[in-house]
Amino acid sequence: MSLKMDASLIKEIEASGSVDVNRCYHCGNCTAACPLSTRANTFPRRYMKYVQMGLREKIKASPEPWLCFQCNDCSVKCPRDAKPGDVMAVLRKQALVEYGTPKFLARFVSDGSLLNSLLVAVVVIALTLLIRFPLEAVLKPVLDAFDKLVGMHPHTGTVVYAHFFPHWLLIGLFTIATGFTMFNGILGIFKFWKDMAENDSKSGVSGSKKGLVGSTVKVLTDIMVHKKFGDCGTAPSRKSSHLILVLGFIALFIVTSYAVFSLYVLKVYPFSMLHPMKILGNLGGVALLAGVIIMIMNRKNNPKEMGIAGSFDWSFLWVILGVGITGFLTQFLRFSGPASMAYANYFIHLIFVFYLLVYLPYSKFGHILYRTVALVYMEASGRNGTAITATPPVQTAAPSENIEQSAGSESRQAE
Amino acid sequence: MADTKTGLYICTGCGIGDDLNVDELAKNGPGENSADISKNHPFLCSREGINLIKDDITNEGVNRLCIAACSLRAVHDAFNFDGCITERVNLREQVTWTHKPQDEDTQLMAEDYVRMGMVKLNESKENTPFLPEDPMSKDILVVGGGVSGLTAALDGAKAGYDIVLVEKEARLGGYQARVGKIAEHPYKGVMENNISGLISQVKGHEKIKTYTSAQVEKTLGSPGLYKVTIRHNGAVAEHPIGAIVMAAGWKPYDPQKLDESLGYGKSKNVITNAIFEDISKDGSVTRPSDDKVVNSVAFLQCAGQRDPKHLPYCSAFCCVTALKQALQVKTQNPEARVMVVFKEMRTAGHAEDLYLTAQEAGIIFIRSQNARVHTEGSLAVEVEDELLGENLLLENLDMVVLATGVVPLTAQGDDIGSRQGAEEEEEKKKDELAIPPDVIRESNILNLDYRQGPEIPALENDFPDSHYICFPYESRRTGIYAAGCVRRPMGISQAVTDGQGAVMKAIQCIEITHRGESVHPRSGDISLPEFAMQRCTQCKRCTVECPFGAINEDEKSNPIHQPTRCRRCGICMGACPERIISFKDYSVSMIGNMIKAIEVPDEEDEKPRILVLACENDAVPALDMAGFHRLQYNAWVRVVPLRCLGSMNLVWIADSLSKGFDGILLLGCQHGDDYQCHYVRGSELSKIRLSKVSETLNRMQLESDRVRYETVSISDFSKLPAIMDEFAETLDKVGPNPFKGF
Repeated sequence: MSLKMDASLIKEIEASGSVDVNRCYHCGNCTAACPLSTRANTFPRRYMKYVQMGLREKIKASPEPWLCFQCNDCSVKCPRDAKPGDVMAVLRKQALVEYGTPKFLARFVSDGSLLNSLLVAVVVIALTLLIRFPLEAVLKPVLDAFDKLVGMHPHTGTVVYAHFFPHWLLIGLFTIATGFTMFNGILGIFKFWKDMAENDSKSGVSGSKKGLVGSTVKVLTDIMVHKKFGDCGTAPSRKSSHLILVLGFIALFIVTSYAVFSLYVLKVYPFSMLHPMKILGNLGGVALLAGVIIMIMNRKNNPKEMGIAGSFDWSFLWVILGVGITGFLTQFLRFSGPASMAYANYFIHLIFVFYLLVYLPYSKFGHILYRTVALVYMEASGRNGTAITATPPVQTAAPSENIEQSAGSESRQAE
Repeated sequence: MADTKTGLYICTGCGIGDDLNVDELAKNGPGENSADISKNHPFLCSREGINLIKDDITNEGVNRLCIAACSLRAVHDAFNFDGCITERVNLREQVTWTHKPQDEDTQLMAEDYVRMGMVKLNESKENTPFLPEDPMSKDILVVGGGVSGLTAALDGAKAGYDIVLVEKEARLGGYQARVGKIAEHPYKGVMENNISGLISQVKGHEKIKTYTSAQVEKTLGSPGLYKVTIRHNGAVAEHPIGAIVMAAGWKPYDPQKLDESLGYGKSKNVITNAIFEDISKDGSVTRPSDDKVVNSVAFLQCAGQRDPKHLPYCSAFCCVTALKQALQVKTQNPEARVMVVFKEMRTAGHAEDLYLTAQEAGIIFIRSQNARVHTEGSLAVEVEDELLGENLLLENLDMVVLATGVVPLTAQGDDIGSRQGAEEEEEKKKDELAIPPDVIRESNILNLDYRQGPEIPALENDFPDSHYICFPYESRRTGIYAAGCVRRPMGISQAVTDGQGAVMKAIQCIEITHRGESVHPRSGDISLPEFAMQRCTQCKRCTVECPFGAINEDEKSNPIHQPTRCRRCGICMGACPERIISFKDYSVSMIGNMIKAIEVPDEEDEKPRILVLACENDAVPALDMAGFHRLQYNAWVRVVPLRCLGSMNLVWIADSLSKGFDGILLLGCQHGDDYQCHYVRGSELSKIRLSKVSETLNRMQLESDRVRYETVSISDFSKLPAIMDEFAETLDKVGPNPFKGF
């Protein structure tokens, strides 16, 4: 079966990421420079070709875009300034749209502006607040029964966020909205898995298959220490900022889950400032803010190394920053602020959180799903062959190569 | 020459004096050929040393000089004395720098070389330049009015020479006049064709006589003395001509012969790059089937090129042509889908910029070795993309353009060699020398009146043989220089350079010939072969073997030498079984006597002797290079330089073996398709002649190991010591020559 070319793809990609794929003359420097490209998974040149040739289906069914952590070694070494690293990033963004349902929402989040996406969140949250009292009236017996079951706890102080936005409403809104999009997200990754498997069997690629559970555990363990990210030839701050951010998110996720548990089961809420969970939550918040601020600074200071950042990339960073700042303000204003200011801030906080959680499969946050799946697929299908890195296997040549690389990154930093 | 007085001058500089006993050398070396005057000097090429020689010339009347110093290739100008015959003996590179100092063997070697030098000096006679009675012409004939022909004509005329330009078409411009747009330096994009400017310059030049719709009917004579008959529009013109530039051009490969899988002939919309030029000349590129403006085009490169079934070579400009044509389509419609399917994209030099321009314009490049065209249903091309390892289908194409290649005009017509081959089959059996005939096609370009055939012999792929490594524009006919696509495939700017280069070579030939000298490689040589006709047996060996067609025949098969065609290589001298051909300073008997002057010690002395017959163009310089690098080699060797190994006469082999030489080593140039012989076939001919040597060896009951043939190039100098040492070891095993002492 011969593949058919789709001439419109290149225009889409170029429009989507302000890259010029036509500049690529297939020399392969990018693939040679890539520390993560292996014999079994060659990229980025292959993907530059796929885009030029308009092989949409091939790209859609490939894990490789997700194996790239965009260290941009390829873009820095590209003799034609074709920015393969950025093209790979655009392919990831396109994949979120390809596998995203509903399509209009995926397009709206990934290609639209941050402001529009946030406006929708504002409307949804405002509407939820508007229907709070009618809903409360309708649901009163249920809510009362529920309260009786779990018991209510005393709320003290002038600022009680639950008075403004009751827990049942908050949890209800986010469960329904996030549940809807996450369900679609899960469908997306299942489709993705199926496409990858079909493509591999069509092209006759096979490896020694491994168990799904084992592969997942291996990949998650690697993610916890950012193993692959570490192989990436980027400046160390990139790996560490991402790791700090991830740890912050994990801490906050644990604290949030515990808070719900504590609220309804242990009936201890809110926590005192010295409660271990409170401390963990604050540490997580600090990590989140620190990580995202380093990332923003990195992008601002090293545009060449970091690649082209479009609204897709910036939106995600600004939203995390927004979540972090308003999160801390929420805590601070609970004790000190006038209620109006505290609630206003809380409202804004919820908007950012909405963006983060509800839009997850369509925003840059989606990589948490697709990248993980791609990595698990690579592990489970046995395609993670012997890695061929940019460093030649010859022992004697290795040190000089390393020196050169580190010298290169130093000089790049100096720039 | 009535009065001869010889002088032997030994330089003791550069270590010669330290390593050799120079006084003994002067005494024992010359022997019966001893010089009238013998002097040493510690720095012979200095002003003082030269004055020493000049004094002897003026005061003592010395007119024959044997300079025993360094290689002939060193300080050539210093040892050049008017009115004297000079012989150089190489004591530096070949003796002291490559052998043990103060050693008996080294001393014996030096003595032999001095003796050989004195023999050669005494047997040499003075040459006089050949100046014919008939007046020689300085006009240049340019055949072909394309880019290179026009440039050659114009530049030749600007240099002050009268030009006769012959074009077979009714208009000038050649293939270039068929072309709409061009892509040329600086390759920033598609440019307008500018051939008309060149044409009007040529037409307007008073020194250029142009014949269109014309044909060279006959080319008689030799450089400086050509008589060319031109037929044009029914009339006939005759011109005396000095030298010829052949810029006959090319034609596209016949697409009907292409592989069926390329789809030519199955659909009107599968065209060639040449047809593209024809249909796009009016400015718009339209589909041949219905004149619709094209929207999607695939260019398939190397159609029947670099393919042993069709043209085995690259036609050099098709990649740039495809870029140009693809850009034309893109300019017409920036939204058009344009794909170039290539095996290798060859955009040398600045043409790379055009490739980048095309790429930035959105033209898609696909590397594939096996493009197939589907003509059923919609026009499509199926390729295996080599970078992706995927089969791709390029569908809904409006047009497929096949890049067919260059066929030189010299490739047309039958090969006269294959026809004669059958006739001469019987003769050859008698002769036993199986010399492969030259390919000479009746391409109707020059119609030479040469015994060997009417056109220039072809080497690879029917391009006229050109010694492209060292001597571009050269053909195997002295005074005839090839330029443009008839020489090899090339683009416009290269064709311009070619026209300029070839006409410069033509001018050089004319001027040198007017002085009675040889054109290169023996530039400036005035010696000529002399034929002792009373002993000629009309065997035709000389006429057959001369690589340059310098010897015609009369009706009785007597050789008639054409001096201005001659390169003075001496291949005829080596070929002649009767040994009737000799030069005044280079002959069979002279080299024979030099060999005889080498002292071959008796068997008991355990000093074997190896005769090395070395080509002066590559092997001797390689020996010099070995000297510069102070490489040490066997001291049994005695080197005799030959003008070309092709001038080797078998009698030397027989004579030296019967004299007691233990072995003979021949050092020649590589032959075959990638020959390096300066005289094209000399080393090959000597190898063929050697096949007869086994007969001689058998008759003398000697082992065939005693004669060895090696090919060396100048860069092989480091291998020479091993070759000679290894040969000496072999001879040691074979044992001494039983003829020693007879």
